[in-house]
Amino acid sequence: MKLTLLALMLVAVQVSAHHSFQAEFDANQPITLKGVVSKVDWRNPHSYIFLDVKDENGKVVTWQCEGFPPNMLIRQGWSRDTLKAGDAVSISGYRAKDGSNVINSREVTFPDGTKRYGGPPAD
Amino acid sequence: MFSRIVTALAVLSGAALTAPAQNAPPSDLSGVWQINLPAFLKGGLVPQDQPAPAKAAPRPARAPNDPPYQPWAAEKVKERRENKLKDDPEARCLMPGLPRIVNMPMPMEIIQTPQEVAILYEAFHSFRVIPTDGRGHIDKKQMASDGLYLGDSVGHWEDDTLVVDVTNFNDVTWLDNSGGIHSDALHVTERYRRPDRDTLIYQATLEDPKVFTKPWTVNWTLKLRPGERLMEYECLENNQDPPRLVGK
Repeated sequence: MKLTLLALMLVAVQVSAHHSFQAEFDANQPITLKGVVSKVDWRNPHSYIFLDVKDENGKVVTWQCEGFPPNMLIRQGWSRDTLKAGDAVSISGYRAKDGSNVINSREVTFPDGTKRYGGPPAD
Repeated sequence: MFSRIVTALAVLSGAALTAPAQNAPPSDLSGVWQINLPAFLKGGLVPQDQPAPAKAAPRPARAPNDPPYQPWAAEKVKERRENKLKDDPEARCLMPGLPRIVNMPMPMEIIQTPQEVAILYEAFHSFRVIPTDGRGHIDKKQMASDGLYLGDSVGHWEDDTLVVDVTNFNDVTWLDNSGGIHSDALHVTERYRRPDRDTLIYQATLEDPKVFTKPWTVNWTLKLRPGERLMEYECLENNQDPPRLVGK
C-alpha cells in the first residue's frame, strides 16, 4: 500500500479515474484551502469534500473538493469515517478552469499533521 | 428391460464422468485482477512492466503509445488532445470499449466455466461473457444496437492461452485515455495467459482498416489481488463534471 502511494506521488498524471484532469482543472492554479468540513459526498465516480473556508473578508465560502472515487480511496486505506463534518483540515489541489469554487483535491492534511492523498498528483 | 435400463444408466453416468474432463479449460484464469496504477496514471495504454522511478525524477513528457493512424485519424486525435480530452465519452459515464476497459484503475474479476469465460469489470459496473464452447459471433440482426461498446466476443483456447475474437463494435468509444480513435470496423484479437498464479498477461491486436495503416498490438500485465472484492460502481449518479469540462 505504501509503495502504491509513493508511486502515485512520483508519476506524472494526465488523467483521473474517468475524465481528463486538464479538461476541467488548471495545473497552473494550485491552491491550498484551510477550513471546516461541512459535508462528505461519498459516491462514485468522485468523492467530494465540501469545505467551509473563510475568505479575506471573514465571509464563509464553501469549496467543493473533488477526489478519487470512493472505490479507489477505500483501497488506499480511506474509509467512510476518515473525514466527518466538523473536522478542520487543509486540502491542497488545483482550481477548476471555469472559475467555480471547485478544486481537484490531492492531499488532505489532518489536525494532527497526518497527510493523505485523496487524488492523483498533478502533471 | 431391467438390464437395458442398467446399461443406459451406465452409459449416462460414464458420459457424466468423462464429459467435464474433456471440456475442462486448459488454464484457470479465475480471480480478481488489477493493472499497475502508476502506469495507468501516465496516460495512454502504457505497458505496466516499467518500474516506478526510485526517486523523484523530472516529470517525463507524455509519450503515448499511439496506433499507426491514417493521417485523418491522427489529425482527429490531435484535435481531441488540444481540447484536453474534454469530449471523452467516458467522462459522460458511457462504457469504455476495448482495450481500454482492461486498462481501468479498478479491478476486474474473471469467472470461468467449461462453456464460457465471464469478465466482470468494476469500472462502469460492466461485464463481458465470452463463449468458449464453439458458439460463434452473434447475428448482426440480433445485436442490441448498431454497434456495441464492448463488442461481441468469441473465445477459444490455444494451449494455455485464451484467444478472444471481438467484433461488432460501435465507433463511439475512445481507444485509451489519450484520445485514441477507432471505427466500427475495429477488430480486436485478445490473448490472456496466466504464466504463474499471480500474473495475467494481456495482449490485444487491433485492426481497423478505416483508421489504422496496419495492425497495432498492445500488452500489459495484471496482477492477482487475493482477497479483493469487486465493489459497486455507479457512474452517472454523482457525475458532476460534464458542465465543468471546458477543455482549453
